[in-house]
Amino acid sequence: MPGAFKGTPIQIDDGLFLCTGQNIILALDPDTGEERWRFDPDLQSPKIGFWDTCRGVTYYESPEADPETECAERILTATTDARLIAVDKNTGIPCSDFGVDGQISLLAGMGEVIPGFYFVTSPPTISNDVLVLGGWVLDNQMTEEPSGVVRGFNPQTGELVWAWDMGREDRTGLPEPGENYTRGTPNVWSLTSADEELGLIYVPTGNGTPDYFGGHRTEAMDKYASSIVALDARTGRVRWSFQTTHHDIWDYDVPSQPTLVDIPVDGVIRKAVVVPTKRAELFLLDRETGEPLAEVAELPTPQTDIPEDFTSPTQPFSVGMPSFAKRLTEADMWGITPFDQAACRLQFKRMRYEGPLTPPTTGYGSLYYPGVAGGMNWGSVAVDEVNNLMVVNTMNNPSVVRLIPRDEVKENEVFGIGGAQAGTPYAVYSFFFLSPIFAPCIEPPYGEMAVVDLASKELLWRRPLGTAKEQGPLGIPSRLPLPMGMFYNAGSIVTGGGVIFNAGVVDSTARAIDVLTGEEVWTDSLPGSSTGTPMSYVSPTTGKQYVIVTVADGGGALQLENAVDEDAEAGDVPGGYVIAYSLKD
Amino acid sequence: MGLIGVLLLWMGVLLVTAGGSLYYAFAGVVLVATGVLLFRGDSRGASLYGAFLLFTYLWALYESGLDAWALMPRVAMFSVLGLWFLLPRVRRGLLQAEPAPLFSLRATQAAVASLAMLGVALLFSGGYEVGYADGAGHRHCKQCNGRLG
Repeated sequence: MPGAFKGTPIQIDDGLFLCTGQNIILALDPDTGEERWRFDPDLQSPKIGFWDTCRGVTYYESPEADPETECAERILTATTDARLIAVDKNTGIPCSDFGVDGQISLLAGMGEVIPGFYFVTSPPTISNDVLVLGGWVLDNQMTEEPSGVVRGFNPQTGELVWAWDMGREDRTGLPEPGENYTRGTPNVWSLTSADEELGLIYVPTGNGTPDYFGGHRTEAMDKYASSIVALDARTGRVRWSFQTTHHDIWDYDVPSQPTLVDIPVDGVIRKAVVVPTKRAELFLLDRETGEPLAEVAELPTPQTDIPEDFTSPTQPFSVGMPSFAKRLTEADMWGITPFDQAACRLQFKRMRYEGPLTPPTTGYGSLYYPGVAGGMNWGSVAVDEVNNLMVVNTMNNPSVVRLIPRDEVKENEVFGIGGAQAGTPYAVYSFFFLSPIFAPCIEPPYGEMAVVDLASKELLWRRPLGTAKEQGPLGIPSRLPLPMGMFYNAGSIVTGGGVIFNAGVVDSTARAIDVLTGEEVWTDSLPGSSTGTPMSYVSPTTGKQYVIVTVADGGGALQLENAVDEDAEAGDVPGGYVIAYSLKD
Repeated sequence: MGLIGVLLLWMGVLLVTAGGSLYYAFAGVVLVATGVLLFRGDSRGASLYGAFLLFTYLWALYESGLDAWALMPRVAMFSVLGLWFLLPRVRRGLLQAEPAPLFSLRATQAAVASLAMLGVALLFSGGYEVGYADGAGHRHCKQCNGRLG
């Protein structure tokens, strides 16, 4: 069962529910880890890369239904082959009242979709009895990619309640036969949040496809791109939106789940939302109106030299909050030896780099930093609500991006993590900024954790997270447990007692960190690094508090580990692991 | 030594052409010269390398301060190469005579003392703990209740 296993389990009463990379839903006993049932949707998607991602499942309890009936409580998952499935919470049997045999196709109204071009990796959000989901569109392929439409469904029947198509805001339902949702519009691939009371769903958006060229984009495609948009949960209409990057040609889509917090501002408790970004800027907004609660300034940024494209003269910077971005210099270039350091310096000097938001260019290309993976990513931030402290995970990992004019694209051109960008005048090569022996071209730290006081908006502490023990030149682990600050994109959690848990750093270690001081108070070796955010729950049967981490380990069967006091040893069988730690007090 | 020098010189010249640091081209020239001297059995090759190593340390400290990770690519390889000159066989060959015991030399004592001082300074500056240029350290949270003691 290969799978990226980015899932974070949810706990409902005395059950633990999660999904594997192949959208297999599992129900576990929260105290023993014993499997109660599993549901296999038998995916038809390609079995590689992004398609092996399921970030979690969604729970729904029907308000009217008799608790004894089938599917009165249900678990929903949206799959990487574009289906939405509902199963009974207690048995895992598909709900007969939902769509056809418990599932609906998410391709209705999408027009022609090449298999694997439209998929869902994040759990839908339910608010005011409407289930809301976006979808991931394969990056950088062409202009006419499937629509980034966000849709609301009835979680009971699977019927479409509304559709928000940013290319056709006047249309609220399924397109007429022969028409489809607007192609190439920004998508919402990450996790969404909801404020039940305000009736709003907060969706973080991507940019119009493809990522690194925007000359063809319409006003509608740019209007809501790389933004956070507050939609009315009942109608799907836009209440407000806030753009984090104008005319985004850096793939600076908003990757993080918007985090809702109630914080004191000038002595009054305000309903706020934190929007972490790949740019390593954190925007703090009023979640009723979208007005910034920390000063946002429009600052001039470098302009493009690509004649067919344009750049916004200014870009928003969250100057009222600590920023985790910095400007690189030649002396920041790294390597293991003087040779690769010189090679990195040479590449640095040859590329276009004028600080944050340097636009993509041809020739040697541009350096952009933070790179395509952030900054912050889908792990988002965690908040200690007692102390109004925000835990930030951030990476220092620049990207190289090189536009290749269409007539210079060779037949077997290598695009790295870029793509052909068909329909635009340029293909794009993109990769992380690495030396010829695959050492990072910038000095450590690569991964950091920080805590920001949300009341004073001051940085409390900031530290590198993780050691160099599993990294080394040419992919050979160095085995050196030296603190270096390593890459990670999984999120953290903070318990009510002020302890941060994170298991996502690429040194295969679960850590507990004191939120007030940044001291590491506990660590444990894992069979791999987690790509999921941990979660914590108190078992309703035993009253014990657990912290759960999920670890991907491609190949083999999924192994489930029983929860053991203070520690859980993982077996030798390869596969994914669900590991539970119990807390002493 | 000569080969390393040629490679560095080539990369260094490209870097200078691109408007970057002069150090790598300079290092290349010195290492080529060292290589030529050593090939001729000229003991001045060793002295030249010693001077180069000292210069490299000063340059590295100037560029990256007391940041151990940043110093690594700048000094590690050249330091290891320098140890070669300390091998008794090499010293005998270069001096064409029985060399004086290594640690009786003033220069050795000075070098060891300097390196020890650098090591202590690095430790006090946090060693491999990565520092922040903006001085972002641990601050006290005024509103927080100290629950962890």
